[in-house]
Amino acid sequence: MSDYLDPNNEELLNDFFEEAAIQIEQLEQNILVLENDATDKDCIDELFRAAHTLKGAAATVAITELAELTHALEDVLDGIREGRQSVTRPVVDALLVAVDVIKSMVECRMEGSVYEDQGVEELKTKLHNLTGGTEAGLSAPPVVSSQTAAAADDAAPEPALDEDEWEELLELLEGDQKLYQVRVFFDESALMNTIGGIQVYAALKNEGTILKTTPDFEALNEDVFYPDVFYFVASSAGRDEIMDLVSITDVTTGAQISELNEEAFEHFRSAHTEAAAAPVQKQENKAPAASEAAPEAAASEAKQKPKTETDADKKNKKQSQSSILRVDSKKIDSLLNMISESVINKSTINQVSDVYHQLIGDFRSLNSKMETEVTALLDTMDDYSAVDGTDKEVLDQLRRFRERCAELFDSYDHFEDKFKKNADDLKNSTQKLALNTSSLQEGIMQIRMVPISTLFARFPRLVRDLSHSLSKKTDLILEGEDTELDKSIVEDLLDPLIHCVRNSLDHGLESAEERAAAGKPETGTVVMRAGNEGSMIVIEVSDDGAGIDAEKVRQKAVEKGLIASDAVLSEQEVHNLIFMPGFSTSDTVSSISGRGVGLDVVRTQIEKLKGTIQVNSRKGAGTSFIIRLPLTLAIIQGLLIRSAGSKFVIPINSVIDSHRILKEEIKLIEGKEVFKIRDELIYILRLNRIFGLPELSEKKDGAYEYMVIVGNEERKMGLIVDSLLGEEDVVIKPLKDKYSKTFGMAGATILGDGSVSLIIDVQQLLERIHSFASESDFAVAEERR
Amino acid sequence: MIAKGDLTGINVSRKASGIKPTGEPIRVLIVDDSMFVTKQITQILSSEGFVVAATAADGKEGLDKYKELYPDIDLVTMDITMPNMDGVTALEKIMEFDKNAKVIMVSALGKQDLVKKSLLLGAKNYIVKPLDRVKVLERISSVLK
Repeated sequence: MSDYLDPNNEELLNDFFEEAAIQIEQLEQNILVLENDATDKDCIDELFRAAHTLKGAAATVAITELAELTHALEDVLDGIREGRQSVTRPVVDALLVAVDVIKSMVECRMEGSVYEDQGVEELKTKLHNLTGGTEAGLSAPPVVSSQTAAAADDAAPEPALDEDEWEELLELLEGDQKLYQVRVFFDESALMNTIGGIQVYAALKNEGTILKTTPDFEALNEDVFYPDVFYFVASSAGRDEIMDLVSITDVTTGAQISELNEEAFEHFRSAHTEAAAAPVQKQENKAPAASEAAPEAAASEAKQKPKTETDADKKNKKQSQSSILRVDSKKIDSLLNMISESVINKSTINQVSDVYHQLIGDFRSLNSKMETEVTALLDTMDDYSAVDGTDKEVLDQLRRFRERCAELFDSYDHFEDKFKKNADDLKNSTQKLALNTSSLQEGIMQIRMVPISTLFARFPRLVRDLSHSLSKKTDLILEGEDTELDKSIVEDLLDPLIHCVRNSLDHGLESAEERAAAGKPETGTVVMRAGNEGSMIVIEVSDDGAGIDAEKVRQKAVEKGLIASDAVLSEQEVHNLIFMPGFSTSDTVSSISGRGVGLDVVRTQIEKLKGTIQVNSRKGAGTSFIIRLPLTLAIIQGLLIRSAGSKFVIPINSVIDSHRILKEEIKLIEGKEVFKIRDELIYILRLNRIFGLPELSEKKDGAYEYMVIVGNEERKMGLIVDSLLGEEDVVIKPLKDKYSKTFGMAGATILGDGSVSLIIDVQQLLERIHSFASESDFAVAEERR
Repeated sequence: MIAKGDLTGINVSRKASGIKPTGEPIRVLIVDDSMFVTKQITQILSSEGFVVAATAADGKEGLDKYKELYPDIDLVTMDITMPNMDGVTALEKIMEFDKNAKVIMVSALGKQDLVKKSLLLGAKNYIVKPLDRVKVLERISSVLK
């Protein structure tokens, strides 16, 4: 299509892919809207626009298979837009299938391959059949209509005016204006060839007054191609200038310009008086042609109208597109990295400043001590000198010495003042710097934030397809789509959310009959809600289904040997059983949920994101999954602890509790250290042993150990550490290269004092707790390291 | 050795359409909400010596940039369908601000009526998407002649 395109132009292709993704999303979303409301004109327009843009772009980058399919899709949409095609289930299904294939095609191209599937031809035929085989308006330029209008005669160098009209026009001339008849011929092969008439009109308008056109202005404004148009222009410009104006490359093919002056008029009048019938006849000839064209034009206008977008349409666009700058996320990460360094530097400066203040104090006390000492010394010397008539010279020396000492004291005081002032300035600046760096840090974090709508947008389709395959009726309500969270979290959140939603539809919502029997509306509701809660994001997936059947869950858990048959569990505890590995209540394994990999996977994924998941359910009323996530993964709150002389950070969100316990309270069960806390036995790990660090020989509280309980309500353990140092916000820096898989380490951070500290991966420790808790197994840990 | 002036001479003789007779490049503002189209136009124009002075992602931004750059701007390519402020409105405002502005509309197929409206409002020409290098340059040079 275009000769300049380098097929290896990756940048351009990447742009294409990015935009294709947007168009595809718009297609999908709007098809779903259309399914619910077939009369939503905005939505149809939007669909058409998306398909059209995609088609054009695909053709430009020579992805023909995509261009062809979108073309077929566009035809169907065109049919819908014009009311030829009703929006039925099969139509929507076919459209969605087409969108899926389009998606696959784009994905294939992204991977450098070409989508190949016999189904495509079939799909195209199917789409084509939907349109009833009629070619849609835009598939070919509207040349058809031009045929009728083209009926105008070729042999007319003569004015296309009758006498009266000519006379009228002559009267309209002003000053040195001349009346020109400009007959312009247009290039029919040009794209959007119906514009030419107006384009020439606009061009001529700049050089004079257009008194009349044939066909008239209204007709030119219709979407009809005229091979030639007469313009009657009053202008002071010369013939050549006019010729220049109307010679537009790719639009006009030529022009005839004649000046209609008095002389010509007289000539014309005398020549035509007798044959007055002739021009009239010509008018009559033209009349039917014009009226023939009129209905065409009207129809054509009706065809074009719905496509035009008004401002209001744009405001209503499903996706509001504010001015967005695309930046490689790596750049932002590196900025964040740099600012983290600044934060650390700031802490260092802060400490330096504190030291200065401390030094002033020290200096002051040293100074006063020196003054006291020197004064005392001088006094003593005075005593000696006063004994017996001492040499006058010695006395003079002594006096001078005393004076110089006083001077010296003064200059020390002076220095101290200056020093103190500077230290104060440093402190002030440090405080300002702290303020600036933290807002800078916040600002950069903000850049990484994306609205959760990017994620939620996938769900209407998912819910629709699931509902259909489960034969359930479901409404999906999305709330809080503007809630922002870190991009890196968004990407990893999709699967867990899909799982929750599937779970709600499959296990939660009852069939229509069951719902009717329970006195509920037949259509079930699933709500996805996002919001902020302090520094956390809360995402809730809830349904108004049957709720969790605690008894059934319990039975299942007993069957699977997850709990003892006589275990005493609260209802909440029973609910939480659904997160246990290997748990699935669905009696038959369906393709939708419960394929053995159950909600435990969801929990693991959420916990990897440093978040928590919780289930609330009331039997008969519904279930909701509540996911809490940190705003960002880049900075966490950490509990700073010391073990074997090294500092470690435990992410605070996985810290449950901390205790000072008596050593003798630690018991051994089957060779594993355990501790009983509130009737609950928890395993104990000694941090230094896991990491193979030497035991410290001397400890402050000989009889006591410090224990941090980490994990979640279902799985927890105690970590024995040497001391707790406090909480700190830490910037996580990933471990690189060969250290990236270090067991039990989630990353590293640089603390305020500039020292490096490792961040403990609590999840990993929990997963391996059984292999580590036993003393004898520490060897394994050593090996793993 | 080739002096700089000679190179300019060569360029002129090759009739690179992006260079003014004075030897200075023609400065263009591209207003389009599609990054893809913006890149395409940029590539086509840069290859002919034009300088893309700025790009804008919607009509409002386009208008602001035009005012900011004026009079150091020779040509504007204006997409029609854009968020915030559509191309026709932006064109209207630019023409109000500078009645000599050279604005070329960029239109998708099927927007004839908006193109006509734009031309009547003062747009100098239009380009139809999907873009074709030859046509783009043809239509742009027809405006500059």
